[in-house]
Amino acid sequence: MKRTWLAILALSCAAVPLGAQTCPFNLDHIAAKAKELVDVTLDSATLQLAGKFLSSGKTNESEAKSLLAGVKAICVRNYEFAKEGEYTPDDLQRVRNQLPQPQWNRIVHAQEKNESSEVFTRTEGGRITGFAVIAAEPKELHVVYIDGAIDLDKLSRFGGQFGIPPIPAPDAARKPSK
Amino acid sequence: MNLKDELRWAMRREEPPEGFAERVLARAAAQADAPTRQWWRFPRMRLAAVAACAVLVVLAGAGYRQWQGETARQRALLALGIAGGDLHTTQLRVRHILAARAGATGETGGPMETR
Repeated sequence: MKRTWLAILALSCAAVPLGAQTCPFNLDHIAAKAKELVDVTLDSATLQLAGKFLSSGKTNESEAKSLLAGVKAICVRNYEFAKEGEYTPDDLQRVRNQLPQPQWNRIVHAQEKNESSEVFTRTEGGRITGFAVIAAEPKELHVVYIDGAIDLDKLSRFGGQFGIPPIPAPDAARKPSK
Repeated sequence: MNLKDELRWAMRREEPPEGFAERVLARAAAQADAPTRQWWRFPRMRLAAVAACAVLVVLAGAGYRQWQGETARQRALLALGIAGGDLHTTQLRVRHILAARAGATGETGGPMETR
């Protein structure tokens, strides 16, 4: 009888994945100043589990499933500040410095007035194996880190489905939709 | 016989039959001495209880697994949505800057790195 119970206990424990989380950024210095924080961290085990529960029948979920196929970890941090200037350029530089330069390259840096977006990628053998975005606004800071192979075009299209209109042609884009 | 007499007759004191108290006490004593038959003393009932517990544990595990999967699915969609949204916004920003620059200089296109 004891063995039966032990076997049941072992089986139920095996059903629980380990909750280890992986985010290479230490953003405590930013978090300390933020009014609100959104933290979404998904490790490899959680992503694998999510992949099993994403439906292939639904368009956005099948896209998400294909996007996640080569991804090992995702880390998203969104900070909202009470007022402008809560975080300094030095704080931002400390975030950038956490992406080591030989492996990580900044491929895009767009700056408009007080808003900036930077896209970093890590490339190995001609394939993107890591992706990071640091988007800074006066009262908001977004940091995204994805470990693994990901199709940036697909990811951007996927992001465009979340209430952001499709990218207009350059000559048509007079105003950034935010 | 009037009502008063009828009531008096109906409520008259009547002695129990001979040996009534002894019989009651004897039966009570006999019941107390009888072996109790609790359900868990039956092997089949014990087996059924264990099986029911096992089914409950398995169902609870499956339910928890389902909940974990659904949570992971929602979090993955949210994370991809935010990541894709930030990338998309960056592209919009770049296009806006390039368009503004092209409008100012009468050119189109340009490098991605723009400041």
